[in-house]
Amino acid sequence: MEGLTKIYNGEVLAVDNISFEVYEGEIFGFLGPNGAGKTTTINMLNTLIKPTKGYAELYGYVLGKEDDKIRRIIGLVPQELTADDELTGYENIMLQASLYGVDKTTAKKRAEDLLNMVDLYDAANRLVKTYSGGMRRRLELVMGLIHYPKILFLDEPTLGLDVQTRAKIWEYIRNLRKEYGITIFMTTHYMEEADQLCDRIGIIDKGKIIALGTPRELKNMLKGDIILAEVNNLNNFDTKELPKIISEIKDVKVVDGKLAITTERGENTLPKIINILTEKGVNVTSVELLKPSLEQVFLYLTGRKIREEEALDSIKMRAIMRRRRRM
Amino acid sequence: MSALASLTMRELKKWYRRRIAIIFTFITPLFWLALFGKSMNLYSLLKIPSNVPPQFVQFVQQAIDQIIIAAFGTKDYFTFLATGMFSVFILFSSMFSGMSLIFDRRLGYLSRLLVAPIRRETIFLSRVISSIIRSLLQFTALLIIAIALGLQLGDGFNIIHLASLYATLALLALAFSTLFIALSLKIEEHDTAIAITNLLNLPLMFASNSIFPKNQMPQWLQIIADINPLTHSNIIIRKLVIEASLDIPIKSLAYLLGIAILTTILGLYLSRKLLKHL
Ligand SMILES: Nc1ncnc2c1ncn2[C@@H]1O[C@H](COP(=O)(O)OP(=O)(O)OP(=O)(O)O)[C@@H](O)[C@H]1O
Ligand SMILES: [Mg+2]
Repeated sequence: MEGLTKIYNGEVLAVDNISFEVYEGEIFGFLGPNGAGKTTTINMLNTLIKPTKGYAELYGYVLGKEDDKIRRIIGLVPQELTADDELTGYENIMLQASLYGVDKTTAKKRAEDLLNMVDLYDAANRLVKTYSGGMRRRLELVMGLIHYPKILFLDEPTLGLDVQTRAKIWEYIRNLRKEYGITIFMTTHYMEEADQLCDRIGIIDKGKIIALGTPRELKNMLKGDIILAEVNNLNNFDTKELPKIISEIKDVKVVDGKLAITTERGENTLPKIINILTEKGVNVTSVELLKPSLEQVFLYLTGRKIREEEALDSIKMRAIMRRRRRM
Repeated sequence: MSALASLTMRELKKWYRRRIAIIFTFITPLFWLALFGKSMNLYSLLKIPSNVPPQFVQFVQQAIDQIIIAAFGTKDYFTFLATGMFSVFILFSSMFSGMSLIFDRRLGYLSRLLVAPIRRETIFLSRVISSIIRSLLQFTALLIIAIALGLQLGDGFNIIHLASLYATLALLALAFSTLFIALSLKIEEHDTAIAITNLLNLPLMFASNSIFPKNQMPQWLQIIADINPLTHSNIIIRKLVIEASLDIPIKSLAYLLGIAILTTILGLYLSRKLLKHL
């Protein structure tokens, strides 16, 4: 896709001139905060809304010119729950199959497989009204797959699901790719989901792609691991000395009375740091080693985008604190 | 099953499952039939006074009969009103046929349909067909009730008249449902649709010969009544039901057919244009 742009009602710039490629058979993850433009991008690519500008091609079909052909090869699991709740799950699935011209016998067989896969077989003949949120989400997944699309758009497919179901859906998504070679374009809020599931990730913020690569590549963008140390009587110690003594240390900050040390190979530097601090009379009461995660990459990038360079580290640190408190 | 057939079935299934709501469809026409139709029995209002000399009673009676028949086509106002209510009933039951589309837009189901490789017209036509089927099934219930309440079918009313009656109502249902569904193609709020239908329904009913004969109306209202499809379907239906005659005025039939074709083409064109994207 090239320079894809969407301006709503001539005023809201939701997606700003984005260009990237998703390879056949990969799981591509789109990561971004609320309102970043993820859904808008998906809806432009699946023909639901008309791009304001830009060019996109799906399996050689040109968006806007060959929409009907594109519609044949894509499946969509939308962010909202849109199955008809006055029908049963099974009726919804069969109806969906007929929209794609899947004959009844084939549809029945596939429905059975898919329903078993997402553990919904027993509830299939109940009205969707009576489903829980998680059941509805799993039904949406089945509905998006019943015609065996070449490209599957998943807009927050595991939103609101419990950990087990989420893991099950990941496994299922991986399976799909392996067995059918489906290309998967998904959006998510869950960092660990993107990290574990996706071959490549695009980070989008305020309608712009700010990073693109494999999870490993993205994590390498960070300067290194972070060591958080809770300390007493820091007063007579100059933190600037640490990087001079240990060359792997890139940065030292004091946040909320804690030392936040950015370093390479944290597992090696950690013992050295504790030794030095103790030698200097600083009392270390607890330490924590944080390996780079997408969450940190994300904050690192969006932090810089939202505020000035300066504010970055404290934003990053505050987020780390928040995460720690949750643990 | 084709996409059109399964989408039509979806509409009908949902309608059937909302049985309670169906009852409400009958309230307005039944109200008119039972209360108005029965109490406003003009024939009994025009009873011959007792001071008329006995030798004239027969002539006066004949005169009254002729006046009433000239005006209503039947001595029984209830039959006149009931046959007029048939078309009104079709109007009322078609009026909300666009509602399902508006709800589908609201609830996101429309997105599913729009990303599917189906013709945009299919989305439109499935609602039209289901609306016509619904209207005719409900009409059957109304017909039975009307007969039970005393609707007098013309002498010699047979299956051909009955079939023609259904065909006429189907044509009317086609005209109204295509119109109201076309109006709903881009509407996002159901309040807007309700406002539009409320704006149209009573004026359409009163500016027609459904309740009173057209020739009793002031000139300006007659002109409106003449372009109102209800007037023409009423003319045809009364011919079929009250007179049990197949001698249908070509003008009315052509008008009804013309309107139905026009609204159908308009609806198909608009659905193709407006349902391209969300
Ligand atoms: N129909 C619309 N009309 C006007 N503005 C819209 C419309 N849809 C979305 N927007 C705006 O476009 C921007 C991007 O929205 P979008 O739904 O694509 O975000 P998102 O990344 O999917 O967010 P979320 O994670 O909350 O789903 C937002 O600022 C939103 O307010
Ligand atoms: Mg979204």
